Amino acid sequence: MIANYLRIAIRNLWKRKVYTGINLLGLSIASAFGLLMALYLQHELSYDRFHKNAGELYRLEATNFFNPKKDEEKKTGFFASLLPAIAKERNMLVMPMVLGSDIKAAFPEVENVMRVMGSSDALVWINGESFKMEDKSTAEVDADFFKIFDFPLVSGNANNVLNGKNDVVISEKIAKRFFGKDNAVGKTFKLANDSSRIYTITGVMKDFPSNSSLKYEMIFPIAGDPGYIEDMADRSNNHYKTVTLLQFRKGTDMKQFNAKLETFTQKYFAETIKGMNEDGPDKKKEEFHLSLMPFAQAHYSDSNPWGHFTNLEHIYQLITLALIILIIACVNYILLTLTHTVTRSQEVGVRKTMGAGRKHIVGQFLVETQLLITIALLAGFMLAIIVMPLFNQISGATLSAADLSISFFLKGGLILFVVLGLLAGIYPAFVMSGMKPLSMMRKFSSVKLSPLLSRTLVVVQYATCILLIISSIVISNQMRYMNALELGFDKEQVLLLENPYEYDDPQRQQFAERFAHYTSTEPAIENVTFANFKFGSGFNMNGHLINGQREMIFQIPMDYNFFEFSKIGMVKGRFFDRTMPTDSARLELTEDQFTKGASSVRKPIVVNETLYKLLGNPPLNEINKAMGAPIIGVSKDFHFWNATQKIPPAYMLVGSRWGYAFAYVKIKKGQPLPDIINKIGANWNTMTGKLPMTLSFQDEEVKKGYESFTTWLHTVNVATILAVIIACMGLFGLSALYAVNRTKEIGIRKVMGASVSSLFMLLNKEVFWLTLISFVIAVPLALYFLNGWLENFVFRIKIGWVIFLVAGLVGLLLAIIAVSYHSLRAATSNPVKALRTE
Amino acid sequence: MLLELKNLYKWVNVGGNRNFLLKDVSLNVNEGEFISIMGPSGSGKSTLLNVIGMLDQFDEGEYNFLHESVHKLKEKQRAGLYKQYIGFVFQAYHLIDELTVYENIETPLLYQDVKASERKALVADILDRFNIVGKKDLFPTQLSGGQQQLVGIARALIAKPKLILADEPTGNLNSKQGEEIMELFKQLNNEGVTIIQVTHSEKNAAYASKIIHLLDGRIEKEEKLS
Repeated sequence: MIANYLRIAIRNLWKRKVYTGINLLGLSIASAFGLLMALYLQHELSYDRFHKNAGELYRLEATNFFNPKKDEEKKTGFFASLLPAIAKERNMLVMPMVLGSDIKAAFPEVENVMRVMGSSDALVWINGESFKMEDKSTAEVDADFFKIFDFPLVSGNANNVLNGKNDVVISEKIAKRFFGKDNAVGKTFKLANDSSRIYTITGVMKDFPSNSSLKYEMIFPIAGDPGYIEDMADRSNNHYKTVTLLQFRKGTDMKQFNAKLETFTQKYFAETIKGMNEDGPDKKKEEFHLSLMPFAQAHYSDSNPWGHFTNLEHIYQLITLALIILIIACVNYILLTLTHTVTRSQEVGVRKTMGAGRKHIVGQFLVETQLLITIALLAGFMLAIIVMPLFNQISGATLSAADLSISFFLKGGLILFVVLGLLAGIYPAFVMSGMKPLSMMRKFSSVKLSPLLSRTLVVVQYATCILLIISSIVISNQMRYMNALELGFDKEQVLLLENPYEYDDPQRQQFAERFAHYTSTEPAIENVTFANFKFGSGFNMNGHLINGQREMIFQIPMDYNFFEFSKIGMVKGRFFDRTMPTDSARLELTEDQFTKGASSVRKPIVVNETLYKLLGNPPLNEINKAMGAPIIGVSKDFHFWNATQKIPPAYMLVGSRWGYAFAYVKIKKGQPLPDIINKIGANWNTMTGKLPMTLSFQDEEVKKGYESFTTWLHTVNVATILAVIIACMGLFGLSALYAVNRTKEIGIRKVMGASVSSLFMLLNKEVFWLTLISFVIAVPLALYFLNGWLENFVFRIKIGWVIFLVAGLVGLLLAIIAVSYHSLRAATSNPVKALRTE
Repeated sequence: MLLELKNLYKWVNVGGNRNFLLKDVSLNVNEGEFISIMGPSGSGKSTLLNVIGMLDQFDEGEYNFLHESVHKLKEKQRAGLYKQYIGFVFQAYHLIDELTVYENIETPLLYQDVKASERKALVADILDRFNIVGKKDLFPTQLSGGQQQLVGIARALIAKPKLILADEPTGNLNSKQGEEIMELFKQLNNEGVTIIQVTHSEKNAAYASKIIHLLDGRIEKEEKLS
């Protein structure tokens, strides 16, 4: 029987190529999208679960007293409101070095303590050649790292690879990069920041899997850190450096432990807590707590420094989009199949008179649906592999075809098979099977799809499409607005170069001068300046007591000509002047010139407008007590932190203890960039002795601040295009069937003298009304979702009626184009043919 | 007796008026009879045939088929009854276009859960008997009208029904093809199959043993032929 059903199904699908094509295309696009989503989801959810100790591992977290503006980071919007508490945590992860050992000593249920301290970008010297390690790819860890975690070693013994202070374990990838095919174990290298120390490679580890939050290429023992002994003796809680992980004995009662930990914390951090509360009399009480985060869940909260953040909001959004596309494809199938009952009614009628029961008819239609879905899934699977790089690019995922295992495909495929089958197949099958056998006898008056149902489905489909079109327009408008946002400084044609020297290298201080000297000889370079930050990163924040409130204020060290270079204007007073030695000199302050228990700058400062207002517009050129410094000028506000947020209070000062971290190079207009970069690179090698050159562009650094929104824009755009294509294909097919259904009516009207244009209008009238209703439904939904989303931005566009008008017109136009082909054909057809009966 | 209709009424309500499709129809059909139903357009021929075939319902009266009271049965039981005992032949053949000749004939057996080997044997038999073995892999659209109707009759016969209901079986055929079909019916009737046909043609009606004349939904006269 099944074989018979299959045979009929294949012939049926083949016979109606257009509908099969539409359904197949829609369903395979939808299933490709669904598969990619499922894959992405599977990858994100699998993070850090592969360690066999994962259940006993916890990350130690603390109340974040460094976080300056906690409230401003609050996420808004529909999806953010769904987030579980864990995704909203913004705890501090760095702990005093000695805390871990003290906890282990105090609590017998703690079996192991693992401290992890990420190091900054290391520069490795091997036989006179330098290699720069990628940022965040090196770490110092406790010696039993490879015993606690399941990171396999290719060579070396997990029990002792990190026992010596100068031992180091590198990844296979790095081993290959450093030594090619040679065995790396036993080889030595030096780091640029301490040329007296020789590290010996004692082990090579397999590259960490892609679903690991810890992603290191080079691992040192933490006991070998130069400050280790000092840090281990320091219980003043002034230095927060290491991420601390605790491994508990199996069966530990965590609730009980948490209670004990709280008592421990209040005692251990008593001084700190007292200090936090000393600042002002009328300030609300500051609290400090330690808490534990299960290791495998740690990646759900956006805390630094942690290797991976799974943005659940993003995932919810993606799932929603995938579901929308799946549903639109299924609605297509239902509409087309149901509308097709007219042409199938004869067959069903005949079958029933031949003795087919309801279950036979249902079975037959389900086989047909499932066959189509199976083909769609196979096509979707291939499509998924083909578009995977694109998907990665737009969604920010890191999927590879290797993740698409057979078992995944079978599992994902089975779920889609069942879900799509139920969504798309069941209803048409039951409608068809419920037809009376006599219906076949009637030629024109045969069963028609209840117009209410088909209209509702079309409206649901089309409202979703219009909602997506509106979202697409609003989001891209906002992003365009962000790109054009007046940042308050000149970001065009500016190259950023990192100071290549290590902090304690004396040459680091001289870099600025030497580089400036070189650039003055290069005609293509208009200007150069130096600073300790680049847009969005590299700041110190200090706690100042302003009006009895502790405020975290950004400190921006920069060179004398930074304002001139960046075309930032002054509101009041003056900027720093190279000819005034006092501008960079340290000041001695008397007791009443600064606030105890808060930071004081002790150098002349220029403040931005926001800070100036916060301070209450104090007079210039005299010591300001809250800042502990004289204010020599007030600058216009400019963005330096995050263009989606308000400009925070900040002050500028000149000079940097370790030399400026970045050189800013302004290229003259019309100069070919690659040539100049090559020239700078050639000079760089002679100037620094072939240290690596790290280069970026100022305007791209700015964009990084809202990269995740741009990614979201691309994702929505793709989803919108797919949804609209699928829905329009559905309308196209539907219009054909409507036209067929109305063949007789059209024929009669023509005989009565109706013109082609009036028939065309008649056939398209319904589409017009349905689009209009969809539009009316989509608008309030769009307003709700998009206003929520826009609250992520302090500077945002208004959603004006023009956007809705454009979206509505685009939707209407697409719908009319989709149906016009068949409407026109029906309207121009020969009435004699239409009215001919057998 | 094969079936018996007693004072059967069927009507539709149009704008408050009751419009009778069948009016007080009583009819006895014995096994082995060959009956023709005649009458002008709209006289209720097809309706009567559909009621007998249990494809359509009636509003009043009794219908007994092999001692089952059809008017008391549920739809599913009715379907079970006609599936087993009745074969249908249509004017427009109503073959399934997507199926080959062989598959079309096989379909009723599928719905009666006949085993595959048995199906094969039965279909082979009937193909042989109707001389259409060479056409078994063709699709209906590749056949002439007469051939299609032949397949339609083969399909109606495959499940060995007691009764064949034919609604103008020759209506779409030319006279020569029509004659062949009627000869076939005659032969089947001689083999013991009961046949009820609706026809416009006096000539075709004459093949039957009894002609029932309908007018405006009521039996005008019954005419026995020898």
